[in-house]
Amino acid sequence: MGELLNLIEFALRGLMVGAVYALMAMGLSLIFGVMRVVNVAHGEFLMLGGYVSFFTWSYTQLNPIASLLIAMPVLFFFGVAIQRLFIERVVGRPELSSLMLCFGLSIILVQGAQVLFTPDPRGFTWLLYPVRLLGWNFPMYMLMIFATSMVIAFALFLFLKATRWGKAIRAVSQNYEVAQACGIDARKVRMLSFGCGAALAGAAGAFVPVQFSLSPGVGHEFILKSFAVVVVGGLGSLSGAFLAGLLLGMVESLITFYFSSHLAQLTFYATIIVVLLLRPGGLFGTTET
Amino acid sequence: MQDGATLVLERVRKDFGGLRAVDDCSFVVETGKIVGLIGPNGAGKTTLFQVISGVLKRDSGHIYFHGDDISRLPPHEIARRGIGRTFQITRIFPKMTVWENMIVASHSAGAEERAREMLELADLLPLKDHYAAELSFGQQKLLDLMRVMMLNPQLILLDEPAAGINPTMQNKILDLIHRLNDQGSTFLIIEHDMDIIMGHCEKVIALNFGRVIAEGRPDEVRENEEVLTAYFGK
Amino acid sequence: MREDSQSATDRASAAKPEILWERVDWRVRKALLWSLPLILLFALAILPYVASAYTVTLTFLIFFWVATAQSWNLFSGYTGYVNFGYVGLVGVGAYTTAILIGKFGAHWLPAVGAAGVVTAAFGFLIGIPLLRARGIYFAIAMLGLAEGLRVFFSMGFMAPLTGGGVGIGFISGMSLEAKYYAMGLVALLTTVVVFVVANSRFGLQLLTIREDELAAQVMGINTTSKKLMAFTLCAFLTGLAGGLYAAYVNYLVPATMFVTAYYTLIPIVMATFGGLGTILGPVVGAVLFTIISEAIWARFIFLHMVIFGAVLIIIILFMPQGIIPWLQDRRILPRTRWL
Repeated sequence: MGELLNLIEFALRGLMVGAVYALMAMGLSLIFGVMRVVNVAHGEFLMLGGYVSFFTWSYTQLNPIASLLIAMPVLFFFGVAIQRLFIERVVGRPELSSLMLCFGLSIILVQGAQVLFTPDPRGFTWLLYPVRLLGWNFPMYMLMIFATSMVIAFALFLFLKATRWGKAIRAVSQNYEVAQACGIDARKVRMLSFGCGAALAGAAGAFVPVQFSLSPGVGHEFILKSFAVVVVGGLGSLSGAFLAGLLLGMVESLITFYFSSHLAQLTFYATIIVVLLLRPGGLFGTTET
Repeated sequence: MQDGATLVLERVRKDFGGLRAVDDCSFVVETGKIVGLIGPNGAGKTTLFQVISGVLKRDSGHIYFHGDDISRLPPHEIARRGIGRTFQITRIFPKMTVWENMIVASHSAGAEERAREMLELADLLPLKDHYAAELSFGQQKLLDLMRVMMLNPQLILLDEPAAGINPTMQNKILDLIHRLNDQGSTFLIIEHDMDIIMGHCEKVIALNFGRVIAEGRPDEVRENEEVLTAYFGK
Repeated sequence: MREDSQSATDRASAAKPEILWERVDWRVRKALLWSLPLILLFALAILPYVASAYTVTLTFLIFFWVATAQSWNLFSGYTGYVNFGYVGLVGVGAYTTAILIGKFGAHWLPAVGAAGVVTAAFGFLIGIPLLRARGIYFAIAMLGLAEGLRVFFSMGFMAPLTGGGVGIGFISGMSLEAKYYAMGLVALLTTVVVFVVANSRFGLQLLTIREDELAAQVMGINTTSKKLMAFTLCAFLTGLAGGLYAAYVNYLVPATMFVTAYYTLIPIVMATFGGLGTILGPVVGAVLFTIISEAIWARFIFLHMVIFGAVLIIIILFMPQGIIPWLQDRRILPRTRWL
């Protein structure tokens, strides 16, 4: 009985960590849905969000949730700039071009961060005290981060469903030509969605110094996990990314509990292989060859 | 499964999320015939081609080619079994030469000879070393068709072969289709131009909202109530 | 829409030799085409006996980058599937040799050969699930490969074999000359393989995958099996290069071996600069970038990677086809399957 309770506790913790993966993967899917571009530099947006959060804390003691008000807009405009300067130029070219472009960007961002921020790992503690919930103890920060992530995810869904720009984004993802024929400025939509995607990654990153440890290369680990999430959830599907993120967070936690964290990392990779083996279009993607 | 039938569709269904693109389609394409597939835009004609050629997987129903169930085969396997296909927008390889476009998919020894024959038939032989991108639009359509013929297909799916080209070239293509038909190939053609359908097809199948609404001789189908409603409204 | 009759460009290109290369007198051309390769081969053959160890080592590295850029080109350049996990193949080859020599005392020749075979097998196994998927999923799956392998080789229970996070050191028993000639042969082999493939129907079929994979399938080409063949071949050649590279480095640590920003990025930049889908493009890219980077910035390792990243972006934005096709488009070099 105690074993089962332990298991559930780990599963719940994993669920909360998974919320961060979900946010990041939703950003990736959003960008892909609109532009058919896989943002290989997405992990670096997360990393930058982390540093914004860290330095905000270092200089102003502002907590990570409040610093989202800084991190998300900063990453949003940064994303818009990147899109406008680089990504926009390779729209319509074969996917090879955008993949390599983002790859180059990711390298520059990581190396740049290593120089600017030094390779030392950063982190800070916040709300470390445990809170009793449903009979288990969870660190407060974990609950706060989970709640905030849910709010952001919900806000995103609301934005896409109800606002003009949100609907424009959905229109362009579904049918590019028809959307343009309806008078939607696809260029602006692309800038907007890339910015939103970056902001989502930045939001996920803002929690990294608290939950994990921040260093310039942290993006690599997270991008692998995000890729596993979108492979399971289907590239371009936001709800798929959301659910798959939570699921994989749980799975990671349970495997860490039973075996080791190394094996948990490998699980993400194994998931990608297994899913692609069975369904080359992703678990919830289309059944096209 | 009927004798003399090259292609038989049985209650084939294809959904895209909430949209039913192909709705319980059943029809027969008899061997040696030129059959037309008509219907208003969005009726599901091209989707049907995608499903038959294996590019999309059907959700339910069966597709029989010469009696064999090909519903679950991958596209290259279906092509090897003898179903050739062209696309609405020609999908030749523009950065390769005409000759390379012809021989790229063939394994057998007689490929080069056959390629020459086909190019000759289409008057494209003098252009064989030109890049496919340099050809005129009509010539590209011819190349597309000849390329399909390289695999000795018994059934050829043509998606709007006459669209966007001048009448002279149209006649050339139709002439070729008839010559190939005389040699034994069966054709299933999507066309919007009614004159072509009426003038060249022995049988017509009409689609609307993914469903077969008529199947029969051209003059029969043309008078059909549902077909008229589908095209012209009530 | 063009006329159906023979177009103006056809008539023009049939008339005069617009290509710069062809304006050079044919005797001079013939002399150059025969003498330059022979001189080059001779110079490379005697280099270890006339040049300093530094020069020999540098040329060894040029060979390594030629081999890796060329192998990357063999798969990604022809099929259009971006292999972001290339470092994984290099690492598997390197580790195979290191383990066989370091833990089992093998001689370097079979150890390097085995590296090729093991990496090929690994590539084949990885390729089976990954190559059935669309190009995008393949790219992201391969990007994760490097990370996955880094973790795998660091894991505790693998330590008896791989040394885990601490790494594995060994003495290859190879002289500098031996490494030089061996890597030179691998570089030559890789280029010859690309030449043979480029001029075969198999190579043509790979190109159709890059241009329009769906059209290729509908024409009866089993694209998955072609991709798998090309990928396995690429893996084999990469394994050989990786194995010899291990003999050069003598100490492998997962954290410094499986560095995507180095062993994946650099061959990509070299091959893309030279021209994907060409034969000599990666050679040109490898030679040029090795020499330039060594001369200018190799001492500052982070700058090294930033510059390569920036170069990649610049190439993609302004010259995505690569320098050799660029020269071919400008009618300076002829369009031939020999380049």
